[in-house]
Amino acid sequence: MRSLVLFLVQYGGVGLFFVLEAICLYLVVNFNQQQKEIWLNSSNIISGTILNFRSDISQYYNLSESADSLAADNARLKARLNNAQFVQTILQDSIKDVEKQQQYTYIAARVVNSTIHLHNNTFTIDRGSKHGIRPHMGVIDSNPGGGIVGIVTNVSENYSVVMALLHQGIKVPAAIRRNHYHGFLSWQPSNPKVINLIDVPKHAEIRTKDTIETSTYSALFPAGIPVGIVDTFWQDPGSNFHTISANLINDLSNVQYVYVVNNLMKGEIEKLEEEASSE
Amino acid sequence: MNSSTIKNAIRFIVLVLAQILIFKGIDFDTNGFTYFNIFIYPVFILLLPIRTPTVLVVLLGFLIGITIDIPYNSPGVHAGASVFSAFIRSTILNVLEPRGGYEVNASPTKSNFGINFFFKYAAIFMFFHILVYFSLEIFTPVYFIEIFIRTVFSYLLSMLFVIVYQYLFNPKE
Repeated sequence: MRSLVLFLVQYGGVGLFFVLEAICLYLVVNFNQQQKEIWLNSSNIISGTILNFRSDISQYYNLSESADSLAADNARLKARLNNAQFVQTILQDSIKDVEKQQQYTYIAARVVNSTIHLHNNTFTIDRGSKHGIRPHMGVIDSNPGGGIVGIVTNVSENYSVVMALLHQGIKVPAAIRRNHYHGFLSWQPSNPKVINLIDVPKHAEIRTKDTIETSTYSALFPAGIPVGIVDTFWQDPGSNFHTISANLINDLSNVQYVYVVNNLMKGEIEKLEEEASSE
Repeated sequence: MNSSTIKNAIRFIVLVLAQILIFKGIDFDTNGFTYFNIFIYPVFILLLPIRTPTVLVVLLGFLIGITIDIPYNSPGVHAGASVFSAFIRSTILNVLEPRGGYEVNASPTKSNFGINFFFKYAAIFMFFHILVYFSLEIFTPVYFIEIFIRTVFSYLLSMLFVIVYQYLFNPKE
């Protein structure tokens, strides 16, 4: 008992100091109007800051959800654009009979993996057979300026692999917007921002800054999506065709959202062409 | 109950009365801005015997602070400052300890250790007391300039009266 008293006498000062100081603060805050207001106001500022911080974080997590729903909305709206419709215009005795039928639908997808620096680049997207994706569907960029991404090659239940535009195996019909001369998009493993348009007829008049867009010959992409801007062009010796080097409209190194194009009439076209060639 | 206890008890009462009856009335109020308050009651904590345990000093500091707070109608403000200065008293005494150490049962007064020692001791002690007092009264670092100005004015005047007290009564314990 004596030693306890001695201990308290020797070391109790600190403890007592904190206890009494806490009591004083309590009294100050509770019985003085001005200090009370400052105290309440400051604690509001602190708790308000914490709450704000929390809502910022939760908003950030909801961000991907809202982006997904926006992408789905965009896909629905894109399907209503003119180039997604198959126009059944029949000219009969100068009476124009316009009827539109849905030709393309779009499935929004998020890129979950991509390569850009290989010779044969691919994207992986988070939509698969469950969502209606099948091999040989075109993939376009969500970039409002246009741009295409590639072609679906492999499909699993939830994911698909897309052969990127930056793939040596790519061969997509494309045309010059100004005069509709056709060629094929093909990529040389050099620069991920540049693509070539090959097999453009020799007599086609080409200018730099011409826009290259997806052509009507392609069953994978709706016509008229801008792909690139002509940079340079040349004619290989002994060749009857131009080769055009174009800068891509979209930047394939930061693609986040894409749309997979579903051509509802592709089966019909292919079947017909098969019949014709087997004859 | 020895003479030291009785003298300190009397000093407690005298200082509280002096603070409330005389110094509470002296404050220069200009446009609602009080430039200084004069603090004389901390002399009680200042002059407690050197060997008083910190626990007791802190407790007595709280006691005199809360006693002053009642007529000042500022519960906790004077008490908080007193508890703080009472707590750091032993540290100040350790820093200022003369080469031979303190005499047993001595009080840190002018008559015992000379004006040089007492002035340094009181100067450090009063500064912290008054700084904590205004920090608690104004209660927000937003007005740190106001805290500073009022601390400086009050400090200089209070120190004057603390020294005058020593010359007036020249207490030994």
